[in-house]
Amino acid sequence: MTITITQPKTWTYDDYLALPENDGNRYEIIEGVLYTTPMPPTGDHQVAVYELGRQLGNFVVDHDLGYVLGAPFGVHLSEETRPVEPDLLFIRKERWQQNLKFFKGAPDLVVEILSNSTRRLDRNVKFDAYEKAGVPEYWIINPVSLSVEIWVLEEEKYQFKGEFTGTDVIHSTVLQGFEVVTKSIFRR
Amino acid sequence: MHTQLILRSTVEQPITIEDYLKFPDDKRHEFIEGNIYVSEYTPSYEVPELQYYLHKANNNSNALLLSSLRLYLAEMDSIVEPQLMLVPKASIRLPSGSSEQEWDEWAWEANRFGNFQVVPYLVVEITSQENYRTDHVVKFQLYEKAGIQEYWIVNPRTFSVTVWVLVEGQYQLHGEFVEEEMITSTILEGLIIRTRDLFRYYSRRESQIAEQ
Repeated sequence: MTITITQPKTWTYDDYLALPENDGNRYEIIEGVLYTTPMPPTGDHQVAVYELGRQLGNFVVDHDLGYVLGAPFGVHLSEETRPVEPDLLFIRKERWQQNLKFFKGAPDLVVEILSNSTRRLDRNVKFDAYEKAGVPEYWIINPVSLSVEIWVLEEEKYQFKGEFTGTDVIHSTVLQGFEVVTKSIFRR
Repeated sequence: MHTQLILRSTVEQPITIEDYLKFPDDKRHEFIEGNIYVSEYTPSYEVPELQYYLHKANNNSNALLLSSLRLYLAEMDSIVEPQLMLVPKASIRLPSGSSEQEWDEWAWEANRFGNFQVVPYLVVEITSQENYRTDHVVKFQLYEKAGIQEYWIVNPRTFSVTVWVLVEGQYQLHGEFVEEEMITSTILEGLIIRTRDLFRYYSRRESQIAEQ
């Protein structure tokens, strides 16, 4: 399974809207380049999405902070970068509106779960896109090495906050007070 | 967690390779696209393990395995110090049958003047919390642009090895290896390493701690 990168045409949102729906692919446009990710992901990938989503969601709902969503949900980071579909995202309630078809702007927290096909995209292309758009916190989850990396925006650049494994407790900067034991994300 | 010191060029005060070469060598200094990355020399148990396997697989070939030597990537105007690299033998011009002393002198000169210019076949970095961004983001892009065929990132924290291979100018994931999985290479065809063997030091240490 590999990602297809379609160049050199500069892709627009109108082109995106003309793409087939529900054909088993996730389409994203980043800086005018179309990235096609074949779905569905693996079970380990989905376990991490659901488990972290559940724990983040519980915290966010308990403290009435906003919304935690999973893909597919489009985020428009800029004119040239829309939509992207993060595996998980958190948006503060002040910024949320009912009946959104997509979210315009930088989510307050984004989580991507690496897979062999999305590795390069998550680590490089999306990393740069989230940094540029000003997403304050970016989690990269690796279901192979059972680890989580945390990146926090400081002076417009992502600073590495650590790589966590096993029983390490992860803290969020954006969601103050939220903590999660790393291995619980993988149900280990 | 240590944080890596980065000295950045500014428009008013650009850092040049000459400035970089004046730095003392008590720390690992690397010059990447105008910035200097300073990190501590820390012992790595994976380097000798890897040397063993890579040497064995590289038997009778025209490549040479080097460690902790300054490498000048001329096209990228950068000097790095990879933990291990496999370079074409022809890129090193030593008199035939040269002695160990001549080799030492050559390495000393290469380090002092940072003028060892070659595009390695393969580069290995042992990543750490300190160098994480440099290894995964900065050097990833640097090595890709420099045209280095294979880039290995060894992670002693997660006991994993990620191998990237250049395909049409872009790194593609060859594999991320853990536990019993066999690490392979596109360059050293006979190479096979069981991932957990690279991290033997840790399992030995853990069992020693458990016994105490």
